[in-house]
Amino acid sequence: MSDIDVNSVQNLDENSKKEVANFIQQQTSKAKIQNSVTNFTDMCFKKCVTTVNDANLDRNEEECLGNCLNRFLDTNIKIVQILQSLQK
Amino acid sequence: MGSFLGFGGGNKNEGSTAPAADSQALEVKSKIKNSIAQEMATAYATGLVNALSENCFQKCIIKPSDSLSTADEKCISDCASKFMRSWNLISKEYISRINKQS
Repeated sequence: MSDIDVNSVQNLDENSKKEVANFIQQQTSKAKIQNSVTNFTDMCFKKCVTTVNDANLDRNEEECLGNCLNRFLDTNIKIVQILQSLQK
Repeated sequence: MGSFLGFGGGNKNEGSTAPAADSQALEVKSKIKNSIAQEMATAYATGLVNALSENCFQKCIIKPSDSLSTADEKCISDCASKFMRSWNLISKEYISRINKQS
């Protein structure tokens, strides 16, 4: 990777700094989503894909994966609600 | 702090639209962006390789022997393909849910 000179970064004009900051923000949220997707896939693959006979997912597996993700997210919301009600 | 002599001529810039400063800013920006994108891609690939290895090892290598059999290799390749298809499905589903909620 090529080195980036610190001074040349500090000397960037305001618009360029904003542009870079925006880029970093975009990349960060993209990375967060990718990271979550990998974690969800890891979790749901374990639950839903029990046999490996060919390279394709069958109907049941696809349906299970979709349900798995959505029920996990539901669970997540429920947990937050429970914690909120405990705080009161 | 910081000297301003890092790059070509020490003249004050009147207005930031001087072509030299402009092309230099462009270069710095693209360097930063490329290096960030590179880091992100590496982190993503590492995470994926770990998840794939762990899951497919678990599913395919039931009794580790002294080398991978042809059947093991077929299983690993099918498993990796299934995992990536699952990744894509989960990704689509997750993004549509995020869009629904916001």
